[in-house]
Amino acid sequence: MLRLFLLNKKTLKTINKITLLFFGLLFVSSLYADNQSLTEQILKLDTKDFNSKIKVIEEISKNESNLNLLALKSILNGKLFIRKSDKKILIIDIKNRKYHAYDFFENKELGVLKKRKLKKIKINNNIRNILSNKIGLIQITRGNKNEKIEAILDIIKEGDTETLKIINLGLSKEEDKDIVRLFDMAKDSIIARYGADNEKIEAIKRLSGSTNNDIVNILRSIIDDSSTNNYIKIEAKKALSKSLKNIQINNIFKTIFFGLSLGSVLLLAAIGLAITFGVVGVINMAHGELIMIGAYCTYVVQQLIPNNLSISIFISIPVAFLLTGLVGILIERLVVKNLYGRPLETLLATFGISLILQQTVRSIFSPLNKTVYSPEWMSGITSIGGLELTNNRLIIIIFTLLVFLIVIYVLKRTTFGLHMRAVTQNRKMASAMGINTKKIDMFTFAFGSGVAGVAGVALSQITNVGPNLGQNYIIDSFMVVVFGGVGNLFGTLIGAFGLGLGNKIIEPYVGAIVSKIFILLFIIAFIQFRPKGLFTVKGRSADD
Amino acid sequence: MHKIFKFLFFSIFLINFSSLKADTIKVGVLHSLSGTMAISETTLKDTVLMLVEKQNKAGGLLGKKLEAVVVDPASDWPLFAEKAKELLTVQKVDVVFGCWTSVSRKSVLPVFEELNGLLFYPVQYEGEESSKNVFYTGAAPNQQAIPAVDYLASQGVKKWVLAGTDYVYPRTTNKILESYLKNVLGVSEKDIMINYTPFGHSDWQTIVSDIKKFGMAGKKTAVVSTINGDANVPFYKELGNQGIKAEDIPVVAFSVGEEELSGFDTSPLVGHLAAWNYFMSAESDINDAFIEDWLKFIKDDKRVTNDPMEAHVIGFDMWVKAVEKAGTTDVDPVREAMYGITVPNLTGGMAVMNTNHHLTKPVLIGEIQADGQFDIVWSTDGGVIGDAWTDYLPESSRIVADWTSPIKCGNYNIDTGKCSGQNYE
Repeated sequence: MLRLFLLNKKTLKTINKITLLFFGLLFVSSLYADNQSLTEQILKLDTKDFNSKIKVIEEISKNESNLNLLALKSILNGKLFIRKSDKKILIIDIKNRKYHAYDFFENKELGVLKKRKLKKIKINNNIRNILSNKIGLIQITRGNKNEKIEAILDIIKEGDTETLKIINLGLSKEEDKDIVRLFDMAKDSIIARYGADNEKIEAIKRLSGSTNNDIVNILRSIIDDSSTNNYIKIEAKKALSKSLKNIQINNIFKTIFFGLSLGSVLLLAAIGLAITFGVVGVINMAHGELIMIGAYCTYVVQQLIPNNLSISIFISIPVAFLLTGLVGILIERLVVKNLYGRPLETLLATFGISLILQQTVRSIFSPLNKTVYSPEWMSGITSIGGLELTNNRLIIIIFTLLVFLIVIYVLKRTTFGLHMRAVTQNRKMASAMGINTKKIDMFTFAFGSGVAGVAGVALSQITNVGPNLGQNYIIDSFMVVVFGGVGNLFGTLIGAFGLGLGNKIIEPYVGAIVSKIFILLFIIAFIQFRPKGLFTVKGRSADD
Repeated sequence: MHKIFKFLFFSIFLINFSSLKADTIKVGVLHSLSGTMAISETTLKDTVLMLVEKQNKAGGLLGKKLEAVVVDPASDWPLFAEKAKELLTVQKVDVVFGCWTSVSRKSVLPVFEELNGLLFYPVQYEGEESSKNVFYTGAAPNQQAIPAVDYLASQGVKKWVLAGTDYVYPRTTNKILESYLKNVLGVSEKDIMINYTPFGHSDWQTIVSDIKKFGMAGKKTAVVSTINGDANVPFYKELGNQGIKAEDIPVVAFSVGEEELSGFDTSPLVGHLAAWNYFMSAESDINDAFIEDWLKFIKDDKRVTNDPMEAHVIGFDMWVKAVEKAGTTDVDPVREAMYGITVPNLTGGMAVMNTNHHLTKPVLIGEIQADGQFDIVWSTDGGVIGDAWTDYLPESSRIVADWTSPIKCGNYNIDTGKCSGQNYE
């Protein structure tokens, strides 16, 4: 439309045909009128009274100008501003606290403006709700598939008979099955409230069992509404109890998913420790800090490649592995090497190292947390038959299992792994067979440290990246390794998932604090009976 | 012999050194620069250093230069008391700006009272305290928590989740809020869900999904969060991931400001709320000047300003004014001079120091924006007087604090007419 407008102006200048001039004028003037009214409406939004803003937004959504959708979207995204000096309407892109301005109507870049010269159209949550509803109503007919799906879900909550007309209009043109199904649901949700009584019952029957938040709320409101007929209420109650039952079943699966996901985080944090503690026998209190360094690697790589989050995440995995591996080698060569066979001293020395590493990071990067962005594909929800699983957790479960498989492969299928296992099982014999046990110790320590770094990359996606990151995971890691059995990676796997599931099954009943206490008590009791953990290394190769 | 010489030389040097410095006014800074609280407290140390530098550039105070004495209590509560003692007895500072957590304040309290020091405490806290030697420049519950709940109630919220970290500030605040919700707003027991989590809690899946379930009951639900420190990032991330938008279930937080938000991507959090007495986005000339000074001082234009920083600015300005008024830095006259002193807020208007050692300042509610800043959506008309003892708990509603005569007490029981001393429980 904008281009047409400009084109028209140009043609006016070059061609001097009266008819064209006439039509052109007519077109321009009508467009001008629409823009004029839109301008006036937007200027009316410059008020502190949120209730009057709501009314203006209603008006804008009905404005004939095609720019009204852009206006609504810009308001929703906090990008619509008014220049204080000349009341010009601008779209502002904030990048690094710089306000890049664009003319709203002509989309012309106006350069960087000072914040004080601008007035933002502020909104609150109520208005945000109304805006997404209005945008939904416009986009329901104009958007692409994803936009449409989002739009339909947005309008269910506030749907009324007006909405119903638009849905019917959209439905008549729609061919995509997923969208049609959603349209039907939205339609039923409206009929269930505003339709004739017999229609209501049919609609409620069709909605029965739905696990959608808004639908459940609508069913509840129908039941609570005193003006509802009794037989409709009964039907709504039936539908609601079916929905609640479905939600309950979903919750069981959800709890299992939560448990697996907590377990995978525990496993990720513990694999590296399982290698250094289990194989080399070093109690490495600085393990958490190695995880933290891995997380900081993600941050640094992301700063170096700011434009492609996916690539930077994949690059940071090997970077973190190598860097933390290197730190591991340094720790081993400089400190741990001299303390083999003296567990208490090792514990104290590595604890000291952990404090040094924390303060070093604090000095280099400041004590503040660093922002690590998540790529698009790691946010949002995957829904499997009404069961909603968060993507980032899902990906971390898969990633953890991959890391686990790779570690197992290295241990079982490579020469390095063979030497490592030989040294663990019988150091003297391995040495007699020509294995350089010192070198193996060093590389094992480095390998375990590297895996900790990789864990840091994954954890940067779900938690703070700050100097204290490691401390939150060190105790959990030891817990998992001791519970699973020292020196047994499969024990670590079972231990991590067992503890994760246990924690998440208890948590809804007793709360987060008590469930953690339960888990610790359980482990204390458990190691009384099986001091060597779930799986012990048996036979002659065992130490004692 | 050699050793004795060395000792003598060293002690002469020390004496000289300290006598040289005797014509400065010493300002103690008691903020953790290492350990878990360094994340929040380092900024406050820098703020005080900036204020001292600025005051010196303006000609110092009482004709003397100010000298900041920085110590690091390392997020270790007993160490706070030791360092406070060191500041007051060894360094002989005239005033201390410091502490963040309530437990660190409680730890230094006996030291300041015994040695008659002067502490400015800049963080919002649970109230239920008024010490003769402490000025509380952060918000009391009635300057943050109560107005926030009122705002949400005015937006139609009927069901409440009170989520907090398991320590004294959230426990006390939630106790006050629970009583306020039940007795003043008439919310029934079943519409309030209270949840506590350990420090640094990182796995929020179950709790967020519980909140989602709780919010599915047809009534508008909001979360009032006293979740502290690092636990916030994973909490907000989980909210975003489970698709809880601010329009559905808004979260209002009392411990999340610009600095906490600078640690992560806020685009999924747009619309969640925070209640403070200051936001960086507040439009006023004095705020713009402050932000400019701060960015220049810290030499990093990505840094932000926040509420506890403003509290230090107000506290520092008040102390300077009180010293000028008293003509000395001695604690008792300065304390007397503090009462009724007004200095400008960074958000506009004036802050007043009351005789209960709490400030009168405005309360603002902001919504998180995609750039990590807050849009102010609501504010009180004028200032709100900080209430040391809440009116919403039966045991403390009868207690008042007033450090001027005739009461001269931080916890005076108006029924019995007795002052129970600082050990009031």
